Amino acid sequence: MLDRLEKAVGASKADYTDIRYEENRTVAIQYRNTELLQFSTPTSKGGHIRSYSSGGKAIHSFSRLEDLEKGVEECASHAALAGKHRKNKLSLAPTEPLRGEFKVTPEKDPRDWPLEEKHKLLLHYRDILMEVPKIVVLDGAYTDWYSRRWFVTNEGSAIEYDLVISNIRFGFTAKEGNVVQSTGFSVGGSDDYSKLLGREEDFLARAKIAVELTQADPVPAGNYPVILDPSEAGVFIHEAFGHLSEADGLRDNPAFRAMLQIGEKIGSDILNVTDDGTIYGVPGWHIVDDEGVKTRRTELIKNGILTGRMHSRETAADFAEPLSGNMRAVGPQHTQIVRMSNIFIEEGDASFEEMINSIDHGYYIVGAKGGQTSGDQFTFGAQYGYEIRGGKLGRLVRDINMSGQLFETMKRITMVGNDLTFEERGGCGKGSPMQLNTKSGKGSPHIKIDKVTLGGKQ
Amino acid sequence: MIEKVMNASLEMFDESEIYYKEQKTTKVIYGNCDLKDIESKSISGVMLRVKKQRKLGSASATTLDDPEVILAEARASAENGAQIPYSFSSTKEFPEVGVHSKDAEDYPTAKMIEMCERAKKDVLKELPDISVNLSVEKDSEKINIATSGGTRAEHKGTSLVFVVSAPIKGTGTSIYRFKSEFEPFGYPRDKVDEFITRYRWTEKKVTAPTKRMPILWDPGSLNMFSFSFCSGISGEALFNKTSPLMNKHDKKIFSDKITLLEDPHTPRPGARAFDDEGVPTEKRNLIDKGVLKSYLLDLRTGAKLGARSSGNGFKLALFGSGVTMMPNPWPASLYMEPGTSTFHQMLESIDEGIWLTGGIGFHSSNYEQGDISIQARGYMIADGKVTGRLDGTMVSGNIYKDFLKIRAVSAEVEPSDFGYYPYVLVDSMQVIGE
Repeated sequence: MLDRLEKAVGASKADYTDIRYEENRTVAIQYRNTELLQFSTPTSKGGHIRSYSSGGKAIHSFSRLEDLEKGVEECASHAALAGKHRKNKLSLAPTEPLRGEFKVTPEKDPRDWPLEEKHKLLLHYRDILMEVPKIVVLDGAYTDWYSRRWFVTNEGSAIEYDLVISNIRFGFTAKEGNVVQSTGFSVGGSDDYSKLLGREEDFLARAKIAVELTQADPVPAGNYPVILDPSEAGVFIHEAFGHLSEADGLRDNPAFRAMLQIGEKIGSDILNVTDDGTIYGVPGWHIVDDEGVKTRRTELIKNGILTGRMHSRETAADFAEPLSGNMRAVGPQHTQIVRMSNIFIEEGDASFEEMINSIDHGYYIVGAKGGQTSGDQFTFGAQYGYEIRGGKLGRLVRDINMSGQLFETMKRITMVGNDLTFEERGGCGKGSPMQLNTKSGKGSPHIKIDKVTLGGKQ
Repeated sequence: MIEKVMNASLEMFDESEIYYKEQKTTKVIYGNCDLKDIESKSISGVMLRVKKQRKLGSASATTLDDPEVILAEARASAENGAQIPYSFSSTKEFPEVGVHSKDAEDYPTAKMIEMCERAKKDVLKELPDISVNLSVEKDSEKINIATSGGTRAEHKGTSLVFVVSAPIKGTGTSIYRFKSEFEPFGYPRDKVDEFITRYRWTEKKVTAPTKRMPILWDPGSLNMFSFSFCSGISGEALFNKTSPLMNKHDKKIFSDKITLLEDPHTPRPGARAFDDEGVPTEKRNLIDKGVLKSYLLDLRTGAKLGARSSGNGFKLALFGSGVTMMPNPWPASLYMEPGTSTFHQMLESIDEGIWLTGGIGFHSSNYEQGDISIQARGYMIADGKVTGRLDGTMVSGNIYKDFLKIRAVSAEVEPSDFGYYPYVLVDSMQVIGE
């Protein structure tokens, strides 16, 4: 494959061209209650070409390998046309051409386990969870995904590498009268199949919360001090700050780019944030990105001061900052974009008890339930929470959606816990159309924020 | 090739269904007033669903070039599959829906650049300091569905989409306007002008007070209403008995000013003669003057509920779409009936309220139950005038309570990314700000 791709990339008339070709295989087993919704092993193949000419850029996706040469020609022609109209010429930060194989070799490789075993494991959990009373919908899914990739450039890179991930997720919907409440829990999120085993108690605990929520009160709307658990704090740092730390989004917003200069004080003194794709066993671990750059650790915030950001070769050149190895694609029909590998808040020194004791009236917010940002504004949900009164945890509350402005909120982080935990399930949505990258991890210790807005019932 | 695979499949299985999609796109993108890149795609995908001894199997691939591989995968899947109580479509006649334009298919890339350059010039003339983003995209798709029951359905559609946007100064939040047609259109001066007007209103930021107040829903924000409502009328929620609309058929659930149609046959982007299971789509009222009239059913949920599919089995969901997805209940093309007021009359009638153009965080609220809890995007209105853009303001409520009292619905109808809507003035919703 590499020979064929190198021959095609060598024929490109563009100043720079790279080609990525992929073969992907997914195992998808999905149940709703006792109904098997899906039992399939879909495959996909295809390629993606990027060309730069005279400072202009073009990209092209194709499904059939026989369309490769035609695609290289079309992409070069579009890049030349773009170069004629582009005022500020694009360039790429230099990187040493990379050659060789970068394969993953997990000890308990999901690819080695028979399909029947995976099915049996999912059914084992399902049967236990079906016993929880008042759960009216139980969604269970086993997924693993294997991607073999080849990448070449006309600068001399030629690599073969792969990505593997497996996980099991259960969603629980409980109903009591007219109140319907949902929670969910995922395990796995890496290439280690053993992380999927023996997780009965974790799933059961979250299922029971869904049932209890049907008796809980909605959180009252208002502004409160909150403690976020590691799952929710991980989503906060991923959604609210992480996406602004991806240089491709920042590049086309000069006013915002000016605000986010390296050296700016953007958070409280105790806030330290890092992106690190080299941490094995968490979802965003990988060896090399989809631009032929090796992954690495990038310090983003140190003592509240912006110290780095995530880049492609193109944005690194534009910002005159170091490469970070964050260019990733979710499939051959999509181009590489800058994405977080594993972003996390570094551990602090507060205990959970100290944090709860510090609040007179506020909320302990637990379990990520998705989030969304728009520039410096964020909103994200939580699966459940507890009221804090007089420094003690109280009643369970539901229907929590919280929002705020990033920089104000990061300055209001006044305690950071000593219990850094990574979310097992990876996931990041970005781009238009939305591209879900399951190989993106997030983590945090518990954190205290002095004030956020909770949307709820008045 | 489809017939060859179908014939081979029929020798192995009791029933078969082939879904095959080809897509070609070209998109010119400008970022921060400069041509960012030219993107093109020529991609395909196929899903084969089979039934053997009543068990469902499925397989998918990028092309039909390796029939043996996809057939073997389908066989393995069917051996483990669930018994299904329905057959694949056998419909042979479909409504005429013309949404294909050869001119759109052949629309030159140079003209796409020209449209962006002209819009850039017009925007910068009025707003010289902003970082304007523009794009023009042409898309053509072909979907073929063939079943062992004799269905041979083909959909050919094109679209041309123009978007102008820019981040509000000092923030990452953007203002945008767009135009989308299935055939080529001239330079969309009206959309550029609307963009300029809306952008100018963002200069001052306002945090709303915490209280109940009228909410003027923009057509671009009513997708949140529809996502929530469509979750409630989905066959999935009805079968699972988690829908807030159980036993509400023919009952009043919204103000009588609300009429919402599934309108898949009017020629415009989104129109379809058949769904992704080869079942004919149907034009019908989902809500008629506030009364619930119809549901969204695919083959699977229809069979579970003892009803036929309503032609709403699509490979689409709130997050995600694609050939490898199993069909699930989803509308083809929503259309909300206009009212009689003008947008300006509605705006001028508000003493203190919000013009809601969008929101973030919709999906993390309990929207399946009708709950809305979002960080609001839009403008503050006082004494019938826009006083600034919203900042630090949440809107929360429940569509099944708050949409019972509607003050007015506009005569103007505009496209959103999930249907076509007028402006809707809701009497009051909870606002959380200062």
